[in-house]
Amino acid sequence: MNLEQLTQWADPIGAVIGFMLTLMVLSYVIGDNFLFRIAIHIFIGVASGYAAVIIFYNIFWNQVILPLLLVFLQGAPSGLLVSLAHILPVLLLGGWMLTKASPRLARLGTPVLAFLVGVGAATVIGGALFGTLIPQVAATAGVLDLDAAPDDTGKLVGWFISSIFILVGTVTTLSYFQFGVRPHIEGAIPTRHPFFESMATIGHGFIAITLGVFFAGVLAAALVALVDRARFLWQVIQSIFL
Amino acid sequence: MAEILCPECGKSNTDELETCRFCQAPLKPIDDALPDWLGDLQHSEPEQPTETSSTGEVGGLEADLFGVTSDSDLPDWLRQSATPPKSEIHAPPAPASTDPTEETPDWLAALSSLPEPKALPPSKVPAQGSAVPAEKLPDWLANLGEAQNPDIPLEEPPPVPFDGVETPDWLTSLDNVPTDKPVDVVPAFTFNEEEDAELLVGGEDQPLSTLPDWASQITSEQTEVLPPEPIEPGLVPEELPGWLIAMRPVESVAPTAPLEDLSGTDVVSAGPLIGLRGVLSAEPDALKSRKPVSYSLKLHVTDDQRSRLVLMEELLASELTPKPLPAQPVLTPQNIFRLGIALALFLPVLFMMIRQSLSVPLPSMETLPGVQDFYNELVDVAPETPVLLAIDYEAGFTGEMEVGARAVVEQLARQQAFLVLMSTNTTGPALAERLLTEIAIAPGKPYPNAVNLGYLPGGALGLAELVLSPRQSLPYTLNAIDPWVLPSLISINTLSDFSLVIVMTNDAETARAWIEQTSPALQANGVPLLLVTSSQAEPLVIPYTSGALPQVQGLLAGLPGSVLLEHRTGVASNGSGMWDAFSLSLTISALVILIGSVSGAVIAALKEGKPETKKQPGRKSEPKQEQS
Amino acid sequence: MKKALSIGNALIAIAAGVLVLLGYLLPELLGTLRTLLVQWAVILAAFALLLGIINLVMVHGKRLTTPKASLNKLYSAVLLLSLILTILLVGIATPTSFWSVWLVSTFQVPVEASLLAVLAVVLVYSASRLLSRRLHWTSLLFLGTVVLVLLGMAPLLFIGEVPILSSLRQWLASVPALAGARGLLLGVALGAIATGLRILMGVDRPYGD
Repeated sequence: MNLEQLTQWADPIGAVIGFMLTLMVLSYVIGDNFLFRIAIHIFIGVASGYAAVIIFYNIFWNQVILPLLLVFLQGAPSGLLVSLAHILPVLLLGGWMLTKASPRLARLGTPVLAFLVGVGAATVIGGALFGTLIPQVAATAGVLDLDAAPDDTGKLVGWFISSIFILVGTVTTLSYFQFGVRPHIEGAIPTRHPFFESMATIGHGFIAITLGVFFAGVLAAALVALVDRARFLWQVIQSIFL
Repeated sequence: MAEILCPECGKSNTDELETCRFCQAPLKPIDDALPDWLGDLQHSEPEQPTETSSTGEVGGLEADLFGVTSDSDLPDWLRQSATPPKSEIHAPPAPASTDPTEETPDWLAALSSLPEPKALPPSKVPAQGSAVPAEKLPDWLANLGEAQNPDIPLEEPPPVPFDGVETPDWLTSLDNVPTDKPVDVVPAFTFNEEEDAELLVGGEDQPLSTLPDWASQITSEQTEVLPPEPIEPGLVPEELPGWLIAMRPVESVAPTAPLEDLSGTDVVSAGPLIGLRGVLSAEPDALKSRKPVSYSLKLHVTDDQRSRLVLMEELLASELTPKPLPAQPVLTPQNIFRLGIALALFLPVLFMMIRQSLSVPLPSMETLPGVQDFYNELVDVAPETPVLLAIDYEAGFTGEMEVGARAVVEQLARQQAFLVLMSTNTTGPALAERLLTEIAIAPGKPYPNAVNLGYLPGGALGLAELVLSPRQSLPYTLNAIDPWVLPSLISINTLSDFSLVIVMTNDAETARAWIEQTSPALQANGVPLLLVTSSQAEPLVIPYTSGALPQVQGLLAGLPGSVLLEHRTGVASNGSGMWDAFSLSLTISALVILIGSVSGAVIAALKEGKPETKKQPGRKSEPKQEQS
Repeated sequence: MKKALSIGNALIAIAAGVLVLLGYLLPELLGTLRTLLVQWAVILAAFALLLGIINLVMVHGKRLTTPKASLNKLYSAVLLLSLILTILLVGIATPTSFWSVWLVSTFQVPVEASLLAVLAVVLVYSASRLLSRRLHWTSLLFLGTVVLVLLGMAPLLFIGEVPILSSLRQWLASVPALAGARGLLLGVALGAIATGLRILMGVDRPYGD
């Protein structure tokens, strides 16, 4: 059997394997069992193996070995040195970080991890500030922007009510997470200020609605997967047995 | 009022008391059991140091030692021996007390049988009132009586002859010694009579090798300061010279009350400090060294403790061994209910798959406004313009995401856009390749205007680098081809150089990371950002699509949006085959939730309304849910 | 010595973070440095992922060497075998080849999709039991929203689109859910900024001592 024939058989074989794996995982509805665990461990092995190869190709091969090879083949020593100067420090850092794999040497890799965490923290701060905080605050503040209001008077009332609703909802949702309490008499249960308490209660309602929409979305995505699996199973049965 | 000295503590008490007011010891019974002379001695108070001659000083010291301060305190025999009248001297010895029932000590009786003493030198004249003839008394006793009587004219005492008693030489020699000489040293106790005769002046020596019983009862308390006895008539107080008065150590002689109450301390019963309280005992037993008690280092374990140890060891051993889980029944109400739900969902869906009819209409564009915006941006892409496609959904969401992704890719391929596929997910490159096979012109002939750059690690970090320099972050394709030299990509230096960026993701966090890192740069350069998301990420992405300057220009959410776009673009329907089953599953889910919630609420309300039943042993009751 | 190392690690994190943050604010001055640091961090993130895979192999390899026979040994053996075979196949054939795509389509897609399908059953079951466990006004509001959104998401079978349901669903998603989501996003952003600043000040040290 040559490669082309093997390629032709790949789809049916793949379909059968997929069929078996689908049933093994769906058996979890009855309860945890041996077949389900085998399927999960196969999945983890394949996913990890693919990730390891992707890292090798995308990082080591594409960003380290290949540039050096190309520069070497081009015959430019100065370029090679520049590439090495660019690549070598990070390779050394990466190798240094791999000491974390050993329990005895784990402490040695902490400085590299600290560098990674520091850069990551700064990136997250920049993104949160310029990507979410400022634009969303501006959007909340501009919710009652009359320039964005509809021209139709009938729709204007609806727009206005909705805008107030959005504004109140945003502020009360934020106030729900304010947990500061007032100084209290010894022995009494500490409570929030009544104004914040009432704001938090309204925010609680908005959060309940938001989480309800979240839940419905997750359920819908899961139902699509269920439908997709049902369709797959039927297609395999159809192709093999019918 | 007369005072009595307590025989126990030695403190003075009034005559009226029967028990000592300090130590509660009986005062009077002791007197009754003792002979008169001893009882008299106990009743006598310690004498204050008075202005006496040297003999008087000696007598005073002796008085301090024995607690005898006046004639009234002295026993009769002692008093008489001091200055006995002539008539009394020659009289036969009379008993100390008139009480015929009292016992006379043997030594005293022996004395009375002795012949009358010869005349004694004045210093040796015993005190008045002594019932014992002078010739019968020992020398020390005779001297004692004379010394304690200040009224005795010591200079010229009348001689007291002792019949039948030879006067010792020392006593004779003492007669010639002037009595007005001061006494330098008077030892309290002497054991050599001859030495005593030399040292003593006036013959007042007290050779005491052992203390008599009455002396042992004298304690330091007896040196209290007591009011002076009224002077008896006939007694002339002696005038002491001034230098003698000045020499007198008042502080040491003056009896003072003890600084601390020693009534609770033990009385020394042996040794030279006999009768004293509050002092270290000289008893041999007190200083006897004892071998310290030896404690065994061996741990003594009782049977009860041993049994507890065994139990503890068994408990610890059982912690290490894994316990087999108790066998749980397969058919529990929860399992049956779950199985019922699974069948209720799966079977109708399978039925719809088998039927394959399109009876459910597609959603309208008004209900999903983001789809129209998405489509508008999509169709604006010019041919050969680079479009970045981020394939960031998980393999499990291919059923939902590939519907929309396929529609987008096919539409763009139709428009001959240059597609640059990449992913921040490890399975993304493979899923991107699946999409590219959909737009293949023919098997083995991939779409020419597409490159797969592979995986970008780091999440938000990778996106930050992608924004700044896509060339550096993804320099080559997975086939080792440099795509940045291609005509469509040669002008790409930053992310903003792309004409369109489409992110396909099922995860809300990934969507948020893309928006946060890329939208500021893209917005600044007017590059639209479109999102294809799953239904679960839609609620978190909607805020980015609203406002005056939305960060996301188009949103395709879930199967409804994907199916709508499919329909709008006219792409070969893939999602439509699932649409009926999806609609049915949504309805069944909503109904199951509604029925289950209502019945659950009713059952819970009925349970709360019922009176509390007895708790089963070993079963904890559910905590009451707090109302927020 | 321990304390000196700990302070040193904190200083590294703070220095790197501050330079990147300043690069955001002063792109002309520190833009190049920021790009270099971010590039290094991206490559190191790949090493971190590799480290995770190495750890996975070590854990399951250790489990194989235990003398006691158990099903866990079989599971670990299956995992390691599939990992090795995947590495060999994808490594030889390249990640975007036919066989790599086949591997992902045959093994990863069915298992993950099936897990999601099982999740659907679990979600419906848990939602239907919510009120029996917790009867509260927020639970009622939550379940009511879920039911309305589900019914309004797609036209109903044999009935078609019910305008009130779809309008209600649209209103719920675009008004109260938008408000709540925006509040949550603002809270998340503030929390992310606070956490990042704590790391840059050395208060939090998630990388260890």
